[in-house]
Amino acid sequence: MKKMKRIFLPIILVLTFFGCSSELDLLPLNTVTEPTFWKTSDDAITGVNGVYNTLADNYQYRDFYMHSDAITNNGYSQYTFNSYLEMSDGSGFDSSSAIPTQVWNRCYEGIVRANRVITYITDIEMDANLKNRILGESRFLRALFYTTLINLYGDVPLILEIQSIEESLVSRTAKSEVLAQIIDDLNFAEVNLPSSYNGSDIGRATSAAAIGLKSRVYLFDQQYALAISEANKFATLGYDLVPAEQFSDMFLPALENNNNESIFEVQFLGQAGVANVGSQFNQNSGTLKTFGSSVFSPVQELVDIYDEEDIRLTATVLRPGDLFGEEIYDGVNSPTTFAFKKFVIPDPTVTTDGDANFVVMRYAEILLNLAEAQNELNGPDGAYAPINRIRNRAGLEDLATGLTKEQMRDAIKLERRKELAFEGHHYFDLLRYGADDLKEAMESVTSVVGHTRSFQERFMLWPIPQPQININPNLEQNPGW
Amino acid sequence: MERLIKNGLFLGMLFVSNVIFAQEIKVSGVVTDDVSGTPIPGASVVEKGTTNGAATDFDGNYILNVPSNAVLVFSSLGYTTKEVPVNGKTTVDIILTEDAAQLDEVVVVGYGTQKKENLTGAVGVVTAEDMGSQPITSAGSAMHGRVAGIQMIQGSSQPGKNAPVFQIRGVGTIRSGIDSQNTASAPLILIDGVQGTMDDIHPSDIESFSVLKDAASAAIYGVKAANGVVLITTKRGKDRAARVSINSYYGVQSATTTPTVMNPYQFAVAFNEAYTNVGQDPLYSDDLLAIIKEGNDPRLYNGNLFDEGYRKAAPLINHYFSVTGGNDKVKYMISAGYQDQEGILIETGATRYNFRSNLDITLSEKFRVGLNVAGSSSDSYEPNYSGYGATQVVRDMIRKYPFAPIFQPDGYIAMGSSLLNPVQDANAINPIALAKYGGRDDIKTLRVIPNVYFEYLPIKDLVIKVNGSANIESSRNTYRRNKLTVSDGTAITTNNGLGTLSERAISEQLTMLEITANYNKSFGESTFTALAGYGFQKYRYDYLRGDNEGYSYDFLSELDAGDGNPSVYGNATEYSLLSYFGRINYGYADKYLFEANVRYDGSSQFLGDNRFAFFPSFSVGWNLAKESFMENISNINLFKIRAGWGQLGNNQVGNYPGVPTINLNQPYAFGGSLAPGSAITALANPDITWETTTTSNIGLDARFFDHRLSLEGDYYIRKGTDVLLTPPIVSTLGNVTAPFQNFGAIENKGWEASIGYSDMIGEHFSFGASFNWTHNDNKILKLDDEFISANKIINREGEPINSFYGHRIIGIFQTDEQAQDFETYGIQPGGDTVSAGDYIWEDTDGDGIVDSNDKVIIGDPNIRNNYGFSLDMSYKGFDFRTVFQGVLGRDVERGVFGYDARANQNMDTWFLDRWTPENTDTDVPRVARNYKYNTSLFVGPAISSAIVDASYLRMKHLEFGYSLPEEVISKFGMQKMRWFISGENVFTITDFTDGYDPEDSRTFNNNNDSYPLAKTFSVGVNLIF
Repeated sequence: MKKMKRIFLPIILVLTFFGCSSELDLLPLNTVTEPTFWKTSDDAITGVNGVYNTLADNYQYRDFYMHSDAITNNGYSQYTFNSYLEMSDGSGFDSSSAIPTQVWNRCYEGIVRANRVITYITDIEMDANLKNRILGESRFLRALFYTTLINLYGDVPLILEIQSIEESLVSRTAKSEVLAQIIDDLNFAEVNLPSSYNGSDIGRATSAAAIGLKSRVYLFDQQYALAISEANKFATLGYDLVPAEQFSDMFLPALENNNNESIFEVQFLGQAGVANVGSQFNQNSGTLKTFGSSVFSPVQELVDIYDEEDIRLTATVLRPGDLFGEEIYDGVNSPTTFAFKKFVIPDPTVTTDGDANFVVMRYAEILLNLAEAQNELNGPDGAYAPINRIRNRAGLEDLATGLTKEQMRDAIKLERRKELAFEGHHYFDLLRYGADDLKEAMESVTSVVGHTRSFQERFMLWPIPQPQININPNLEQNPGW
Repeated sequence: MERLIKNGLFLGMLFVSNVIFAQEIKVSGVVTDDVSGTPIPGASVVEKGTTNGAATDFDGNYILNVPSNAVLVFSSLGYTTKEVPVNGKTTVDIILTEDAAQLDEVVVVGYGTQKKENLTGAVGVVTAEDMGSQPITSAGSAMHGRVAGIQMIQGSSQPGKNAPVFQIRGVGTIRSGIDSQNTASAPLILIDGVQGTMDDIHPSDIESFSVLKDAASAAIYGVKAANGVVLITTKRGKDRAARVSINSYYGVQSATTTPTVMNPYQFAVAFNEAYTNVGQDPLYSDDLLAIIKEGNDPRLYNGNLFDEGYRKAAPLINHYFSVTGGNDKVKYMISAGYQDQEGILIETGATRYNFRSNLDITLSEKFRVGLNVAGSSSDSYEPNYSGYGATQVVRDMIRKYPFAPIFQPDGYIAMGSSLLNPVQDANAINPIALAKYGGRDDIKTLRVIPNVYFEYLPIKDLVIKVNGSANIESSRNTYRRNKLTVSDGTAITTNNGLGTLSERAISEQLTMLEITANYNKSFGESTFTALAGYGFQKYRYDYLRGDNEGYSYDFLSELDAGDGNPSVYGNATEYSLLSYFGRINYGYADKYLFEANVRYDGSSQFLGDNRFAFFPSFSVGWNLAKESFMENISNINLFKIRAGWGQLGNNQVGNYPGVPTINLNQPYAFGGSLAPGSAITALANPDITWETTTTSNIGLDARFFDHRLSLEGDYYIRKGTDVLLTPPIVSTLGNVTAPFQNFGAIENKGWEASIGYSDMIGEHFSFGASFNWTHNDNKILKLDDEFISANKIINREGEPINSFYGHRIIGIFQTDEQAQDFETYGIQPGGDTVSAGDYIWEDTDGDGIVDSNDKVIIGDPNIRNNYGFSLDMSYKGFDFRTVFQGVLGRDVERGVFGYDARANQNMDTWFLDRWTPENTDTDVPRVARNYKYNTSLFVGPAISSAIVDASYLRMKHLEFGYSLPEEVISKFGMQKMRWFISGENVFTITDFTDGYDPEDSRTFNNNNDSYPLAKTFSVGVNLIF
């Protein structure tokens, strides 16, 4: 019994400390959790892939960007259920509308995903070049989402770190500050991203994408000198316009990721069996009978701006009687009789998820940015060369010489609209041109029977989604909403 | 006369012996126990007024030399001291009675015991004595009606699934599901300190239940204690010769109530009316009606479904055997139990074997060791042809068209009646056929609960205890759905394709280690006790499931016998909990009492700093009866005022709510192929922590008239804060699903009172009566946003949880014109045309339009008052006991209203009194095919006519016993033989709907399809050798 005493107390001490609090460090057995994640370079790669995943959302590049042309004098969205119709005629566009809410949500989804990669990659032991590339991709994507936000909403909360719920009741940051962050991110991306990728990495952001986005952002912010210098960097990057005969194919799987005009594309893959991986341009277009009614269609007002010899007319718009694939298009599927053609695969079996990528940025836009910035900063002379390259490829002659700055400005606006129709530019361009342009663009659409549009001043800046303000009263609403 | 002479002689002798000088004589005898008749070793026998004495030996014998006129004083711990004059006799045998009062005074509390007189918390107690021989199959039922502060619903008597649902002092969290089926409000159950369930134990093994109701008593259990704690203590060995107990009974069960459904003719008439009321042709022609009314066509079912589906006398058999005994070194209790229950519903039943061995060994003065092992093996089964088990059979007996016979004349199971077309009998299969041939679920469970402890007493007054235990459960469940070959009278088909089989293996393991140090010290008038403890526990759950299909033969019961597509599935979870706890009690002269508890718990469920939480409690008591100013008031034995405050945690919050999960299904296409992507799509809140329940309690314990009258009362406020809810979050957090946040608050306020009286009248008649009452008010204090579930249940700040929400019914329209007054009643859900015979919905906001804005709260499903009373009496060998239990104030949505021909279902006989142009003075609406306006069932909104008060008073238990005289049975070596008859749920007084049992746990959509509650009569015997 004496021995027992000697043993007993030490045993108790051992037992008491055996259950130290590390015993409590349990984690779910059937899921991957943040504490078990962000350990390897693979985790970093899937993490950044998750940021790209948001690009393929309906309220980003799978539908919204292209569909935004239907809020302009380029197109008409016929159904009420997806809310573009109400936005285009102004009737149901308010602070609770689905599109301002969802675009806001998805932009921040991408931003927060990028922020997580940027935060957690720091402690991952991995190849330094790969780490910088992933950081570059994340920062490029973050800049892209913020660009969408400031163009639509003006001042927006600038969130660069992972927030707790307490920290999340933020107020809006001045647009200029957000813009500075965008440039900072893009400068980092320009330095750290490669100029191209191979094999299974094709589709990731390149340094050229960062430069191109900078030229766009500077142009939008009327920093013309910087817009010019960014656009001029392309002189040595190997980009060019594709030949006229390839113009249509540039928007189809045949040439995607594989032409020297394309700078950044959102990647889609048909029949993958996974949501938001295939494109829905076929489904929206109504070009082939099997696709059913068009969700949105080009309007007469768009068709009218093209000259008949402009190759972009047939590449952009399908008119009744045109051949598409092996079918003669009859216009029955479309309320305007027209159907859009860009990104639409002429295959009657691809009725839902398609393979066509969405081209976010291509060299033609850089040339147009350059022309516009030159005209604004230095007058029309410097604008001729880039704009004539665009026109010549389209089968048009050079612009008449001797245009005034204002005439040149109008010519560039028109050229931009023709060249980039249904690529998600026109609505954003109208917003930056100013209220007169947007009003004119909206109210000029009279070709659709029973459909009239009326402009309101407040449309120039989208409303902050009201449900968000309800949760976070620190978010101040835009004027008029 | 003869007796008188004898007594006279005796008195005379007494007188003589007192007068003559006392001689020294040698007295010997045996001291035995009054109940068992076993000898009491070590009892002291002392000559009164002297130090002359002896102790009994192991067989209870003593020898003592005393003067012949001496008085002997017999005493032993736990027995009432007895004085006996010798009067010259040389043999004095004495039977000592166990001092019941003395034993009662000790109450089991967390990690110890305490004198009841000195308790400062709110603790309810039920002892084995209280339970008697009640034939219960789930131990929890023993508390029913006997403890104030518990809201208990027995629900069903389905074999293997009859554990009652109960809460202590109301629903304490807003996350609580509908119908109390949730674990978030379930109390912690500890069996000899090991966490378990009421199913882990044979009721006869139980020595006592202690229900720790307030924070002052439960805080020592910290994070698991928010819903209260039930401590179950099992019987243990005693320092005495082996005592063998046998308890056996045989009972028969029948349903307390049987649903009332229409017979085929009533149904056909009503259904015709339902068709014509919506402008369609009647379904059954006059010729058919005549045949149906006649009722003896073999193509129609001619029986009564409930006569065939419910057994009138389902047997319930129980055998229990135990041996207890020991000496000063080793004490033991070994038991084995067997229960075999056939269900009231055909094709249901359960068998359970239990064993237990409680062993306590004293190694030396300083060391003790013990081993408790309990185990059980149970097997329960029920029909399965739908995936809903037995409930589906009851449901189908209520709902199926009552026409299909079991078999067609061709011998195949009948799908519909061959007399009727498929619409007229809805292709229904007779539920009796489905129950018998459709398939079967088998649940086989093995449970082992080992517990080893080691005690060391290094110095006087200090005990250090190391306690290791586990609760290991392994169950293997088989779900088989048979191929059913059926015939509609012409074609033979299979009803549901080939048979399927699903086998599921579940293993659960909870291991615990606890180390405690207990110190007790008295100095002067002060008593001081201190407890310090450390605990660690770990839980793991594993689930493995295999399915196969394509079974053509019902006897093939293995997965590899199927030829379909086998599939497997599995998962596992685990958690661990680390705790430090302590308690201090200080008492001065048993007058001023103070207790403080602390518990510091850390759980793997939470992260970082939120992982640990601190739960304190304080309580004080003041026994005025011991004050000098009360001394002059006689007949007050105890008058103690107590008050307590404390905090408890609720850990029923799921595992790892604060850990963000990575969604790996966020791919993106690179280079023409899909690359995996990941993201957080549902936010986790790392700041999340325990829900906290704060309880304040004041109470009174009083005893009067030599402890014969006892009173206990408590008033409490129980407030749950930091209740986990998912308030919306801004999308700038990444457009992710909102996580749980500690947000809501809920309150239960109430009072409990119990009063008891026990006494003897004359020498042989003893009786006791007690009564208890509990009142509880539930209220949601804080909610992110009110929410409505199932279109009829609302959770709103300031209202009781899960309140009924819908339209108030104020009558029945008598004319179409009145019903179709479009200004008032024009807008109706579904665009239905409201007609004469339909309910009038009240325009509560008075805007002239009845619409969803007129919905109001129309009922409270929480139990507001519950009460119980019991009476027991004994006279010589006879004993009698009864327990009543009741609820006053609980609203239930009854579902007869659902079956107004809305779907292909039979109807309740309630609709025999339906509104027709001829029968206008009724509160039953018309029947109308496919018409939802008059019902709230499933579709909602709730309507007040369906919300019924389910209050009731029920005789829960009735027992008569007779113990044969000792002289008779001792010849057979027995110490006790008691025969008894008993009844459970003997009768019920209620205004609840006919055919429904008010104790059904279903609160919402209660269409009376629960497994029935049993009325049981049994006969049994208790033997002690």
